[in-house]
Amino acid sequence: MKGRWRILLAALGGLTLLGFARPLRAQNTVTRLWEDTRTHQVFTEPGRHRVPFNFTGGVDANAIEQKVEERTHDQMRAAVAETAAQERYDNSQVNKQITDMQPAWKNYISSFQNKFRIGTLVYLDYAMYTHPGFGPQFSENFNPPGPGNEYFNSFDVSRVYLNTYFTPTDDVLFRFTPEIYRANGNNGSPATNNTKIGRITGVGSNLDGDLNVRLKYGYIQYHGLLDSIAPLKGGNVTFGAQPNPFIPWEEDLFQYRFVTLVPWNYVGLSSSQIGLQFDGPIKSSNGETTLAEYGFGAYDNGSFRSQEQTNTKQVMARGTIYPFGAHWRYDGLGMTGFFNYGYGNTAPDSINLPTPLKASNAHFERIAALLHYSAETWNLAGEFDYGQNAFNLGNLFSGSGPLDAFGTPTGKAVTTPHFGNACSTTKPCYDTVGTFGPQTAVWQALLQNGRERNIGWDAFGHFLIPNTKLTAFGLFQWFRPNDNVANDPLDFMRFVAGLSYQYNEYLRIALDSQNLLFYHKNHGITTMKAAKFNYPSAGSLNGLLLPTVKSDTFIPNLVPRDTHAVFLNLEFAY
Amino acid sequence: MRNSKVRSAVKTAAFIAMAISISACAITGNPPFMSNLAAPSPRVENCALIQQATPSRYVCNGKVYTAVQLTDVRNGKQVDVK
Repeated sequence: MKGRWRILLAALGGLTLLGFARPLRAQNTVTRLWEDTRTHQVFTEPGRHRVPFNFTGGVDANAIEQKVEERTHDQMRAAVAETAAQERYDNSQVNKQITDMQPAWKNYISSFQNKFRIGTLVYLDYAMYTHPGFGPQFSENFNPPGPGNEYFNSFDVSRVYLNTYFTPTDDVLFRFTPEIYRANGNNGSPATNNTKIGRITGVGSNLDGDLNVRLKYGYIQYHGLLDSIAPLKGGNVTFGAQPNPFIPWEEDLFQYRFVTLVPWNYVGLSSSQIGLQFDGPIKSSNGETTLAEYGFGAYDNGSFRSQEQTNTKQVMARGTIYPFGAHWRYDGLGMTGFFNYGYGNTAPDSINLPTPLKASNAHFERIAALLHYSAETWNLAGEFDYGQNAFNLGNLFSGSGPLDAFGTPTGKAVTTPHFGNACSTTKPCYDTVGTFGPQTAVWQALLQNGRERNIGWDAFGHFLIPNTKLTAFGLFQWFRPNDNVANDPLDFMRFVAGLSYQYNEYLRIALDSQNLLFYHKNHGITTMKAAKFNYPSAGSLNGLLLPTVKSDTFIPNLVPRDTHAVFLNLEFAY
Repeated sequence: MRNSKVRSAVKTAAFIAMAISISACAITGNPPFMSNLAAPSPRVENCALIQQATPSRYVCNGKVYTAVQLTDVRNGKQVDVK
């Protein structure tokens, strides 16, 4: 019995001990020692003459933890510093690359600005035709109706250029200039105007006077071909659709292209040709003055807006001499000569076919001789023109003309024998009055027989009214389309007179009167006389028979009506 | 009949032009067609247009200016030309 109670008490004691027991943790175990100060013996218990013994190699958890923490911080600091240093290095490399890139980018932009320029040229007009008539157009896209439409008036857009120039290097230029033009092609005839697709489908014509866009200038120019020769420095060679050597030069001399056309331009010579051209100045020995200018080249026979058909080319050349030297373009007295020779724009397989009216097949020639004087506030020029086969029916009626010249007969047809013809309902004939048919046939003969000789005299100039922004200007042109014809009904005079106002460097306005005068008294000629100029002996026009030569029929009313108009012109140039 | 219509139209146009001129003069104190003599020189109206290009070129007092340079002169900026 007592043994069992002892055993039970021991168990309880053990359990109690176990309950109070705690697991030992190495970091919490503190080993304390005491050192006898007299004998330096180390004891595990405190006692007399004993002091705690500081074990330098002893385990102090806090101290260790602190040291570990410090070491960890040191390592972290080192790692961060290393990372920061690397980042700084990387950033410096990136910044260097960016710095290297920026000048190149800035250089490209600044270079592009210096290599490209864009500008515009706009001519806008209001015209009132007090007396409209048939004739050449006063300016581009002017197509007024003919006689009987008094006080016809219109707002017009005669020119819109968008000039773009690109100069990748100092000596090479590329120019691209589109312009607007009016598309005329709808003659009201469904059979000939509209477009047929397949067997049963049609599309209406849209050639109804829209202002379309076309290429006026597109060329590459090399500047400096002759710079190694001091007097010829500044010469150019140009390839493409470009200003020819004469008309644009004369337009700049005239200074009023926004009002009207210069003489040869008015009677049919375009300002733009497609070809190869050389031009430039001839300077004095010291390079300070220009003694002469030249421009010459070879071009398509067709104009810039027509399809070239020939196996030949036309040539043009202009030379200007300044006897007293010129410090600027046109300065002082100048003498200019122009020569142009070419062939009708006809394909080689057709050009030699016999035809009485050779207009499109014959060679053509144009000559101009000018004497001009320019000062800063005024100028005056006189011009003599000579040509061969350079003015045809299309040029005469480039503004507008009678329907008979464009494929549609006018007037009442004759259906009984008349004028040497057995006229009938199946073979109708032209009458001689109330129509322009026989007259058109006579005009064609006078202008297109291949022996036409053109003669002209012109003068133009302007004068700034002192202390004002107003300039008086004028142009006179006298032109004989064929001086082989005595008393040619188509001889005409044109004069333009007006006042311009310079609003600022980019904008000018002009109020002017423009007049075309067929100055001969109205008359006619017989068909026998007309036959000397290849009027058809027994021909037809627009499906109607013409009076025969043999009948010696008198064809009246050969002198066209005059045209008088007042214009308000506006020019914007940038 | 037609001549009287033309004369009437011309008279009307002349009257309108005069009215505009007088109005402009009254508003600005400077006749609209007169050159502003107080403005910087050279002024474009006193120069010769020698080339219509981009930009146009003028000659003033023997020196060649572009239209842009003449605008700068008019706006009081310094422009150097040869």
